[in-house]
Amino acid sequence: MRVLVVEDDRALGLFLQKGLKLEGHTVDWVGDGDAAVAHASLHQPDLMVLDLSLPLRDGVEVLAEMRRWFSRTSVLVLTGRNQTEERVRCLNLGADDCLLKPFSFHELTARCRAILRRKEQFADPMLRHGEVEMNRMDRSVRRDGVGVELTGKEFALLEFMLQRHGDCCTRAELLSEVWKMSPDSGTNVVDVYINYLRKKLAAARPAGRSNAPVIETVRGQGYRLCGLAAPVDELPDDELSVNTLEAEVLQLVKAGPGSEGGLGGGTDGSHGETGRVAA
Amino acid sequence: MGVMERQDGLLRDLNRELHNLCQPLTSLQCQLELGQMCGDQAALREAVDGGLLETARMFHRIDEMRARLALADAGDRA
Repeated sequence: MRVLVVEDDRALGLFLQKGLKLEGHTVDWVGDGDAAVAHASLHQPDLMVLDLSLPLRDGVEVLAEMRRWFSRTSVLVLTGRNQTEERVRCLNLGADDCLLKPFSFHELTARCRAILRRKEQFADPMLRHGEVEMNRMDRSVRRDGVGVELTGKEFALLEFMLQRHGDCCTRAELLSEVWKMSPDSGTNVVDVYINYLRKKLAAARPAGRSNAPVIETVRGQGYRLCGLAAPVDELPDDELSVNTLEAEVLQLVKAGPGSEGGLGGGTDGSHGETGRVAA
Repeated sequence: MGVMERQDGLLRDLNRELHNLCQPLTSLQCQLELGQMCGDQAALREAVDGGLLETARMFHRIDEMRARLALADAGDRA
């Protein structure tokens, strides 16, 4: 999950960021109310941990803005003020929970987990980005209305990328979140599966439409989902054609584990596991 | 300034100082817990170093509260 910590106390903000990262979240930190609203409008975090005493724009104002414009972001309010009225006001304004300072980090993370559990329970099963639509309830994927058949691991990979709304997903993140493997494991399984996904998504494009790329390489970093469809002659250089991809994947698989450029050891061998045919 | 006004002012200041004290105390608590969670030598050293900075901030806050109380006490005696 993507978390934004809004805390003007630098030491506390940085430690909350570090601790929540250890919990496995993607965490950003900002130190004032204006930056919080600006960041939220750009990245739409799943959860905002919001201190009430902030420079430039008070935490209560930030909370009101969040509820007005970004209702899908859950908000956990941190306050050093012990008045019940203030906590009631925050909850009435739409905060999901309030935590009084000083607090234990364990309590903070437990409350974050509880909020995210509730959020997940009532989450919209549909994920969308550009032409790609995923229904997490019936585990189907469509590209511009055309069904795409994916294996379980391909589905998990695409789901993770869709949740990032076009932001870059690093290879380390994908290895850790989708494969539950250490970023240092030295495998190229991410690149291999990205190629599988590219191939399947390219094959599912509607007839008469340009083969616009769905997944873009971020050089030296990882991958991200592209925005709107681009005309064929504007395809980025690194977006490979279906045939080229197929050849590349075959080459990687043939190279085998342990060989340079091959599919490294430690893959879970899940390609080919039972997938769900999109309706 | 009347006794009631002085007491109101003192309560407001005390409330603000308590709020200010919460910041380093929360930071100290979180740093120690994080150090414990990570458990390695470097994390523990970082937690201790950061913790000492936070206790210094708390000492400063307590000095400010003492000064404020001394002022109030002087006002009451005058």
